[in-house]
Amino acid sequence: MEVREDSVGGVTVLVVQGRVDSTTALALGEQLTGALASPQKRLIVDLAGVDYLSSAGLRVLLLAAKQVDQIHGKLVLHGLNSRVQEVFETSGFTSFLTICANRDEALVLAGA
Amino acid sequence: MDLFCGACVPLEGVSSVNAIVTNEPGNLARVPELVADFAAAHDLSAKVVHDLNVVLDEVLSNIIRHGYSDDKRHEIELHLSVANGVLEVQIEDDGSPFNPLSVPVPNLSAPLSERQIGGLGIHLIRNFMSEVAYARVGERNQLVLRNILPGWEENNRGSP
Repeated sequence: MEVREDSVGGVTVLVVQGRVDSTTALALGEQLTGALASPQKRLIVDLAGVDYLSSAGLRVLLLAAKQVDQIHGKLVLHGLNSRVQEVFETSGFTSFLTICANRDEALVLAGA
Repeated sequence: MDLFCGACVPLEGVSSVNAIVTNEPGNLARVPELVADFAAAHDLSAKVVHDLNVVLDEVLSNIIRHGYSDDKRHEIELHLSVANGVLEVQIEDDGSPFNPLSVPVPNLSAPLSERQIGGLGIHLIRNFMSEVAYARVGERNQLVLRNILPGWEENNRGSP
């Protein structure tokens, strides 16, 4: 699992590639925390390169969402494939996470 | 490599694989490959494979992270089988007693600030599997998960 960090229009973008599971989620969590520590407070997580995400991934995203809520920032996810989307829906995560289809929409929603 | 894999033995419509997963670092990462090989041998759909991986990741990582109070090497027995349109997963470990079914269902309509981390994995297991059964037998936890494979009946109608 790899995470690349970019900055687009004042918004931090984390591009995630590979599997997010119990062995890789910790590293993603650290990147999320690091990205939210920046003064920008707006974060897009691009999951188009993620073929698989387990509950360990849900946990780090929940923590990130709580952190964003507390700092009054913005978190937008995009690129979820149908199976990853199903994991989010089954877990009730679609009710508090902003999820959209692609990077352009994400940039708009993040206020870039 | 510590992940021992027994051979897939087709026998009257039942075939299975046995494997040992240990709590040593990196061992858990070998499970997806085991699942991929098993899935290919049984023509399991991408969704079934995905859901199985999610379930195994949750169960095995929980055992490894919370099940042992010593620093010793421990083995978890994993048994995968397909018979009569049902995928069955048996996981047996010698860790401390833990019944996943006793974990309360998370409140999925709670506001964000009240959302809990705990219970999410078990919730996914319950949703992705048709049946979950747990037993504590002696010093071992035994978990049996079953998933009714979609489309099996249509494909096998009229078979002996």
